Amino acid sequence: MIEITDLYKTYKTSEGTVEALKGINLKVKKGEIFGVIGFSGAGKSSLIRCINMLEKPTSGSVLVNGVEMTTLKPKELRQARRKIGMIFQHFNLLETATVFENVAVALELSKTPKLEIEKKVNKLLKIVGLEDKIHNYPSQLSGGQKQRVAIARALANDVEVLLCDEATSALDPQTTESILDLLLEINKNLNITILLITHEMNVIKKVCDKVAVIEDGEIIEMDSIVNIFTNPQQPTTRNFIKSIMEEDLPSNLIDKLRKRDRNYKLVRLTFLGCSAAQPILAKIAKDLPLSPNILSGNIIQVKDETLGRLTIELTGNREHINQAIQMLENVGVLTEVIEDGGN
Amino acid sequence: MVETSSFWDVIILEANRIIPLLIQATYETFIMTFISLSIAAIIGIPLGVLLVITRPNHILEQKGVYLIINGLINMIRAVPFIILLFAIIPFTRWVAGTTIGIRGVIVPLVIFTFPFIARITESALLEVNRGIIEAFLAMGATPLQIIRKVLLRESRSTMVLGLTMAIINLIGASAMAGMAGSGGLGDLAIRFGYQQYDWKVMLATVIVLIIIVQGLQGIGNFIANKLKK
Repeated sequence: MIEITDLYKTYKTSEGTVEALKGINLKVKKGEIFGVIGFSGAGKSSLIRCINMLEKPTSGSVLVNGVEMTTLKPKELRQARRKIGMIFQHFNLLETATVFENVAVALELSKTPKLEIEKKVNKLLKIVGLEDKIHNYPSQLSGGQKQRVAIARALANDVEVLLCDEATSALDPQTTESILDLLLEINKNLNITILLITHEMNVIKKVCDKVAVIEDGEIIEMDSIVNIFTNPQQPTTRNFIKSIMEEDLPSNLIDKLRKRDRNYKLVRLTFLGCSAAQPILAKIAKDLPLSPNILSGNIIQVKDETLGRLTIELTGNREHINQAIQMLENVGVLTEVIEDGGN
Repeated sequence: MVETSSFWDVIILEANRIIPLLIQATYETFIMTFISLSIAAIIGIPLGVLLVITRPNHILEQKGVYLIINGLINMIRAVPFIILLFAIIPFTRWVAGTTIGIRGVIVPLVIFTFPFIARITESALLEVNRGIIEAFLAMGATPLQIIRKVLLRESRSTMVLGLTMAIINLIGASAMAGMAGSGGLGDLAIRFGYQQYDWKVMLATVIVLIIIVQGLQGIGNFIANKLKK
């Protein structure tokens, strides 16, 4: 649906040139929700704006639904843009227009007949759950409601793709959840491909099928959401995951473990599905002269998968400890020794 | 007997003399102001729009056009009205066929006001949130649609306040045009009040002007508020 190849974007400023994007390659499949995450200044905003040519790429190719966007003439570009919805961090609604008018205006742009506009706007406002606010002005709405209007407006021309430029960054966590639910619904019911950029791992975790981590104008890691969470390769990716999954053990607990004069390993287990780890830990306790001690645990929902994470302490004979780790690996639990202590 | 009634007699007598003059002059002032305003707006608003959309990084960036319009407007705005009034007499005669009366004064008033309206339009349109323009670009809006549905629409409240300011400036300028025998309240004040030392006419004129300005500003604020939302 979206295919970006060797995309470069260079800005000329008074202090010289800034390379915002350095050879981006990515593919978003039809019906997918694709997330791009990065810290501010990483280039994610330039990336999303290069897709509908709000910013002209310096070089490279952007295909949206088979149309090469970079070489379109102004009129063709307008046609293409009508099929690509976009929502923004600050909603960008007309302050002087009611909810109805704000959505209707998108249809007026494409010269839709009046009667059809009315029908369509009502339908869209129903989808986003704002039927009762139809005659209100944006100033009378909450942030979440404003974003709902913006979503209705973005969808008005039967778009195939929705670009979300930090769409939840100005919203509180609860409102963010409800907007993300709406995006999931739209994706599922209307089969709209969504590309979103964000700096919040929570957003990625909840809705995305696939993630790209962008840093310094480059994609440093790209994978399915489950792989990113279970097996992150880059420090930046780990940092993002850490932002929603507490990983560090309390330091006084570690001190206590270190003071003992015994062999131990602290092992972090990552597993899909919440039932995967429990039986194997019991089996270890039964088969080996070890008793795994659970120090911390955590289960999160990643899109449609459940992801569990346990930090356990294995104390005892070195050989037995290694056997236990082997047993865990054998059933598909990812293990990572985070501390190897004792003598 | 004569002493006690004479005060009111004088008032009534003077009122009978002054009020018809005032009504006629006020009418002329309104005619001058509104004709000039309409023409100046027809010229000034599009120029103001051009000033915004042709500037760097806007929807129809055209550096040359921007610089020319900007320079032209600065040039006219640099000339005080009283000088403009006399300086363009040949032009006024060429356009209007006369340089006196309402007809003669509309030309200089328009020339004086359209750059002002262009600037008002420019600053009002620049206040419109860039994000909204961007959202409309992303929806595939044409430049004309952005001008109509975003820029002019979102700035309409500021525009009304600006046009109110333009009207009040125009009333002031039209009074000055009394120097060129334009008719209207300024002309009345100069002919009777200044040249014939008739302080009563002068005072009445000033009072009427104050009432008009207060009233117009009030109406302007009211409409601007209504349009705000």
